[in-house]
Amino acid sequence: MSTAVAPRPATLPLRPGERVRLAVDTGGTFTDLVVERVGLRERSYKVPSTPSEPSEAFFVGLGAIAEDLGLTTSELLGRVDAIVHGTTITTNALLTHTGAVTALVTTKGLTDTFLRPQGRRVRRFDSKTAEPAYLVPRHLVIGVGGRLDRTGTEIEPLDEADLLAAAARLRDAGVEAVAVSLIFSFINPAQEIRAQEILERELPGVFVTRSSAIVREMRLFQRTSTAASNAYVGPVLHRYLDLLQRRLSDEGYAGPVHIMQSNGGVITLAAAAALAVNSLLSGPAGGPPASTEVGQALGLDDLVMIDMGGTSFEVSLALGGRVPLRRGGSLAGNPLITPMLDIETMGAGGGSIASVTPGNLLQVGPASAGAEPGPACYGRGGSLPTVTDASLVLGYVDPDNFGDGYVDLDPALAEKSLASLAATLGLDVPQTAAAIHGAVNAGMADSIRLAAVRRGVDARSLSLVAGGGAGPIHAAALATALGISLIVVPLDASVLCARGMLLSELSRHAVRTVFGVDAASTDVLEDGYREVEADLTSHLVAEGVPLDDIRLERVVDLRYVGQIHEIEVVLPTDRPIDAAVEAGARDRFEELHLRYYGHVLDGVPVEPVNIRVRAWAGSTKRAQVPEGSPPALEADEVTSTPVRQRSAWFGGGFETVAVHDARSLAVGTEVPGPALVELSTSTVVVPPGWSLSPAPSGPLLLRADDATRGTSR
Amino acid sequence: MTSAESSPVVLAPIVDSRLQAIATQMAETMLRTSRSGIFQSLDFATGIFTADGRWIALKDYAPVLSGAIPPALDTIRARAGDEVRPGDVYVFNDSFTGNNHLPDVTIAKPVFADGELRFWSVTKGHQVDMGGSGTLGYNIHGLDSTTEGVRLPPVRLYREGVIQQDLWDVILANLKLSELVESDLHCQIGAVNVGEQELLHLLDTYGTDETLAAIDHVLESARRHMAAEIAAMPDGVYRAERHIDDGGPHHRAPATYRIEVVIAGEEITFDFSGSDPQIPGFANSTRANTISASLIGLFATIDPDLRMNSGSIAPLTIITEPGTITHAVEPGGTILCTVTSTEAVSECIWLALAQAVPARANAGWSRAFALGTGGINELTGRPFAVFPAAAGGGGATEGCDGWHSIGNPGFMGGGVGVDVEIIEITTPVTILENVFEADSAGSGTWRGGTGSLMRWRAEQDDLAVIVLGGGTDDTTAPFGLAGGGRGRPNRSHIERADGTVEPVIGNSTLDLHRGDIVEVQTSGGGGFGDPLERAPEAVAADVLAGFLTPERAVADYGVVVSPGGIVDPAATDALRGASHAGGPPR
Repeated sequence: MSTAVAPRPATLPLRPGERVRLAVDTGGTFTDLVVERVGLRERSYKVPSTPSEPSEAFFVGLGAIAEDLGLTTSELLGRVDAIVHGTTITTNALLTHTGAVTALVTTKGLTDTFLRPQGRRVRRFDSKTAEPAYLVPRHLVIGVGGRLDRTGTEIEPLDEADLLAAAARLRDAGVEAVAVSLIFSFINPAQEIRAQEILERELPGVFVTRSSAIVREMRLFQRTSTAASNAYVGPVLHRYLDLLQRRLSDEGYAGPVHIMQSNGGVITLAAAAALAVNSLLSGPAGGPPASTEVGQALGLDDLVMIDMGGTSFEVSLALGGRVPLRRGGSLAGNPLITPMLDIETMGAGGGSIASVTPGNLLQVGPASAGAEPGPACYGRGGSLPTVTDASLVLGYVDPDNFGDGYVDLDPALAEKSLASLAATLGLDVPQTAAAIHGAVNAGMADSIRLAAVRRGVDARSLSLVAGGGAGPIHAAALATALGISLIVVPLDASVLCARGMLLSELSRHAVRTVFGVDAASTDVLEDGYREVEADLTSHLVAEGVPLDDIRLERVVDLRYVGQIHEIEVVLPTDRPIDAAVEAGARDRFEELHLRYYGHVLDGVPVEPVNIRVRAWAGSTKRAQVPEGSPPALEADEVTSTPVRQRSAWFGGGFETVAVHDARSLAVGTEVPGPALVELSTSTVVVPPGWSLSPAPSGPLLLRADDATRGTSR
Repeated sequence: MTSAESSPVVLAPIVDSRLQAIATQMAETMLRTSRSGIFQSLDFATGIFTADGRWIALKDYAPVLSGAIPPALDTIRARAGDEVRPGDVYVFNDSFTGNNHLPDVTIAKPVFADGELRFWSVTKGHQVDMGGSGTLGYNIHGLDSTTEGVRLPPVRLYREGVIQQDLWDVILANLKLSELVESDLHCQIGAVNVGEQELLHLLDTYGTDETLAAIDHVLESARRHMAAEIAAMPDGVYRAERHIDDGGPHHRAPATYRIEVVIAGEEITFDFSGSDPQIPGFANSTRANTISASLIGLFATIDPDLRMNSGSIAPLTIITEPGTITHAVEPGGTILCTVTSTEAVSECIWLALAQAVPARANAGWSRAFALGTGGINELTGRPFAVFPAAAGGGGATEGCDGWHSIGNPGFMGGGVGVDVEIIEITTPVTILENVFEADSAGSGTWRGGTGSLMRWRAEQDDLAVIVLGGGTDDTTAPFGLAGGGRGRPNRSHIERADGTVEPVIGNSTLDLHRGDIVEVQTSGGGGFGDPLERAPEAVAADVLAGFLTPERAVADYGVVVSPGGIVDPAATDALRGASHAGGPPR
């Protein structure tokens, strides 16, 4: 194992006065870094992650970049304008249940709202799965007196004696974080604010958060779960960022550090910990923006983006060049009400294990060999057959060029792992491998199909962007099954998330529920928007954003009276809300309702439920070179590599096919299937009926031949 | 395509994935296009069947509905016979000929490819109104089925693609909420249309013969899987009985459900024919509902990876005697069957199977006990309906504590409660308290899940309230298994605004006025195994969490523990040693 990628052309040293931007994406296995320079292709670096102290890998990576440029780390940092950072530290804390010792202070009498397991029992008939542990143990859930009614009017004052007693108990219990969540605080947060003040005063050094500061939206359960999650991961993120900032300033760096958020925007390091819950998708959130940019460079606005790695398969859509946001999602069984990029995850990856049921039906997953021991062919002690073992047997993967050269694969071990499954199924080993691919592809194709259906989109109208180590292997099979005729494979598929982070702007979102609060007249809505906008703007200005850089977007959640599901409609921001704006919103609502659900309800009134404001600020400056510098010359990356050959499985049998190196393909080349095209981290499988060609903007394009289209499988 | 690639063994997992996804897509369609809150609280299911009626896929949002689809489709197929045509859409809800209860309406569409019937695309959903004279769809006071609503034998809402408006007019004329029901029937039809399109696409993709052969393989795999599960159970005859508290105003007495389970090799029989005769009132089970509840009982006892389909249920035979409480005949009332009968039937199965495979059976789950109300909300001027229900606890199994406050077996924990803020904004009900209640669960090496205490206040006068459910005495509370304790029974009373306290009787109606407070305490689940064998640390954790009082820790578990969860090991050893010598201190 080395700490840098395989040999490649030397990088050009920085020109005098040249400034750069960096992205650092800490993943579970690798930490990816990308340097953005003007006039040059972005350059990526990969170092092993150090989960026990992620800042280690962060600095090892900075060291690798510095070395590449012939600089010291502090010299490099002296040339950096901004660092954008994606971290999995909060996600890991939630998944492995290693967050802060957290307490919850909530309305007396409703203390168990957050602990109710209804709806969390996903496997209805599984009598041997224990109820999951909650982020807050029940003895640290404390009820306090004080009650608002359904209009937000105080009918019982906050019992401050209860709060003092709670603080004393929590101090004795040694809690590190407290979430405050009171009924109807989304209408009137005064009691919550007061409770937070008292707890902060009484519990110095403890992370205190309140639900109304994160999201002012109806539903006590979801709001409480969101606040509790924020408290649970807040101190973890705070500690980590504190250390990171100290180490950076020790190296002389005083520029901005931006943290990637689940909503696809970034937030300043200083403000990140207080909204730690918004960093739970910090890692994967970079992927969709990067894929969207790759698509847009090709004139493609409607995309399905997949990321298939070792253990998981992620799907997201971009419609009209935008990645939709989702709310009401959940992570590790914890409902979250804050908006996040709509990324669906299923347990399918290279490590998914193939087996048969006791009734002899082939199944792939949900069990996974993970990274350790990993697939059998890793030779690390795994013996069960996985999707990667099948890919190796089928000749799709080059045993000597896998996972950036970090892993050597052993084809004999792969075959051995498949032998007994093959005997059980009555197939030979390659047929078994093909059957495993068929099964795992079916599950992934179905999850893409359902993701499209949920957004009211026909999958056939989309182009597929294939990312992740295993994505390009399976992309053509998935596209064929879905009737998709164009696939985009970014060359740097494995560092896509890091690239996406460099595209992200500062952003903050806020919401106010208006349903049931008031007769939502246009004046009430306008006042609501103004209040929320002022609030968001003041936050961003406090983070150092010039007022003029802030762009605002107004969104309203509408539904037919009586419905439970709402549709988001964007409102104009250049005029106050009046009858015409309302009418326009209703038209747009009906247009979307027709698209998503296939009908409109004539004569049924439409009502607003939530108002939302999204604020964006493109505050991180792009990398720059001093005026008058000579234009940079990109080292010629098209290297002439001889075309090799390999035996691989196509159309039901082995065939000897051409194996191209992606970097040796000049623009204008067309590679007809069947063929294989090697990337530094993966292989693009080009089946019969498909052909591959590099686009001028970099990525590889796979197109279905006319005969292949319309025969979706 | 080579023969290996299209062989059933290769195609089966692919086709199986597609079929499950299609059933899910149908369910999503219903979820998003429904206007009644009922579908949105997941009280529906979808299913896909072969031309000859074999069940091949489902989305079981409500398990109590999904298991009742196969008998409903059998009836529709029998009626359709040779008359079935492309573009037909059948509706069916008749309790006496294959449905569970009237509000659960089945919509079925035959799927033709190249002129041949290949599939049936089916949905079943709880409609917000199917007529009758009850409160929220439940007529407590009906003596028999004649007051329960509109009975629909299998009839066509569409014939060869043409809407049969006359029939729609007849159905809707009988309903108070006709507009909502019309809309939700179209929502169900939209879902079966989606299923039809996707199924045709499936046949196109893989070929009709290949697809059907793959389906055969999926079903045969499921049959063998279930056969292996049953073969692993000791052969024998196992009997059990459970009763419901009462059947409403016309039958204020218990009624007993009896089962004889026969396990013989790879086959299993549930024979309910020894059950009590059917009773006056609305609590009888239909045969379809007994089948559905049987599947809940069985599938919670076997490998949870095995899904319901015609293959996996093939080794199961269900015998019911017409005229008994498990198989009502005309004119028996049945509208409550999805609640109380489902509970009693699944409990019978667990008690009987506990004799054969104790390690696999569930101890009793809480039975439902809920007060519901509806009308026009004076605060908003809008109609509302609400069951501010406090869910009870789940039963323990060997190796696994029951889940807290998870609800009754009809949903197996899949039900979704309405958020307290939504209840208060949309209804004239204020939730004063809804918390887990200490000491409500059955004790055991593995304890039951804790039940709840709910208190809510009426905010306007003259609210008509319906009370559904039972489980209110020791004999109907959730049972323990293998030495585990039973859960505390359901209890309820009303505190009138003037301070008077009135008991609440299950399966009754009452009125509430402004300021009246309803209190409901729901059962905890039953425990499994000797509580003296429960790890002291687990007992201590329950005390710390407030699920158990220190007093009961001593009395039920022989564990001496402080309110802060610190075990006194010496005192515990002494107590447990003495208990073992002289029998448990219970």
